[in-house]
Amino acid sequence: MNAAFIVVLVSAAISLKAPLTEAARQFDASSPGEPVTFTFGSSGELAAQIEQGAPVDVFLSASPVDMERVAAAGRIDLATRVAIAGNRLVVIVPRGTAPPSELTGLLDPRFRRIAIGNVKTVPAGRHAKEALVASDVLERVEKRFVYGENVRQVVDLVARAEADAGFVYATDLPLGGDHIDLAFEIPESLHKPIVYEGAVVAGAKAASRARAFLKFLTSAPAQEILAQRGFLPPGTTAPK
Amino acid sequence: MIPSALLISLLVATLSTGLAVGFGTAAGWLLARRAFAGRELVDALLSLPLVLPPTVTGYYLLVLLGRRGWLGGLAIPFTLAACVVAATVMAFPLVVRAARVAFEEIDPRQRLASFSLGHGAGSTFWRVELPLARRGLAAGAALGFARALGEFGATLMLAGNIPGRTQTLPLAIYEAAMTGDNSVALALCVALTAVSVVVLLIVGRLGRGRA
Repeated sequence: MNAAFIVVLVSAAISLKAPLTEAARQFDASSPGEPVTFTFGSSGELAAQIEQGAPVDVFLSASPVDMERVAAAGRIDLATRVAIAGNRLVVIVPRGTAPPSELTGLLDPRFRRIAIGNVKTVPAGRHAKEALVASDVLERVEKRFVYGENVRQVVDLVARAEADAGFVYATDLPLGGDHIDLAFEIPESLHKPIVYEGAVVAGAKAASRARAFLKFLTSAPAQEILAQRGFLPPGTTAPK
Repeated sequence: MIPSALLISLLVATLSTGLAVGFGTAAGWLLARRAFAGRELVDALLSLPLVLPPTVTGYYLLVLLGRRGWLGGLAIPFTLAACVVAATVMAFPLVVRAARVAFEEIDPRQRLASFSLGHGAGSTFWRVELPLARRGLAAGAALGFARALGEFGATLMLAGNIPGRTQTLPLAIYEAAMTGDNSVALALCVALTAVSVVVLLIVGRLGRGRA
């Protein structure tokens, strides 16, 4: 194959879209080599694709759970696995809705539909469920759930007022523009720590370039880009 | 999860086929019998869901039926009704096309004979045209049923993917495949394939015989 057609294909959690696109632009500009391109989706969806042999070079998961899944399938180079960022979970409402101030506030019947990422494939949905279980309200609000296939869809459902509240990351707030309002941040003590992890996929075609990109993501310039977008440095979210 | 998705799928496909056959037969008859300005444009518009990506059709439906849409008051999105609406819209063009062709193929002299024997338009429709067109209509219905059963994109957009409520077989298959439940995915695929084969056999049988 002509070298010009080789790219570093990165399967990444969709919540990382903005900072990654910017980081890749910087990486490609500062060091010559195969260009970095992305495929975005929910971490669970991407993990399933990689398990089934998707020809990608790097997996960036929003959760150790999905990374563990591809690791168990022998699909990543374990030595390259690294934490790259942290995040916070928040509840959003359509603008104009009086926001609840805590999870029990969602019991109010005016929150008829609550958008949440599909708990099987979307880490933000899984964390939201953990927090609802910890607050002992899951069973009473579960019937009102509408599911998004990724966290961006959850933002969209709330922005369109199709849902009266939704669980997303703090870093997703700009996506909703002036259609959504932040209601409250969910205390970290209520859910497992949010850790974004990266690893080079086993058999990656552009393995050395993939390792370089992953290393770049943990470097100061890339961490600065992530911090500007509201992501936390890895390791600041204390394990429970 | 498997039984509820299968039941939801069968229920949705049955209801939407019924709706598509009712409206589609009427539309097909009008297209076949009435020469009105813009007839072919109407036919093309009705056929759009056949050629547009289902997600585009689903998006239009969501914009139209969403809480802030023109028909937002109907509160359809994310309910079983949303599955039915999505599947009906997707099945509709197949039914209309089959109906139009079936009505057009009827020898005009048979209608004239009916009129000359004193039957009006309504009576002629029910006693002459519908029986003569029934094979074409049934084949259209079977194709529509198969399309409704396999509907994925528009349903995902309009109805979400709520297990036990709006999760149809194709959505359950997608979710099982995405979560690595390969045995579940395979079982669901086999179920869907089996139903589809039965539908195709029915279509073949209807197509072979003469009206």
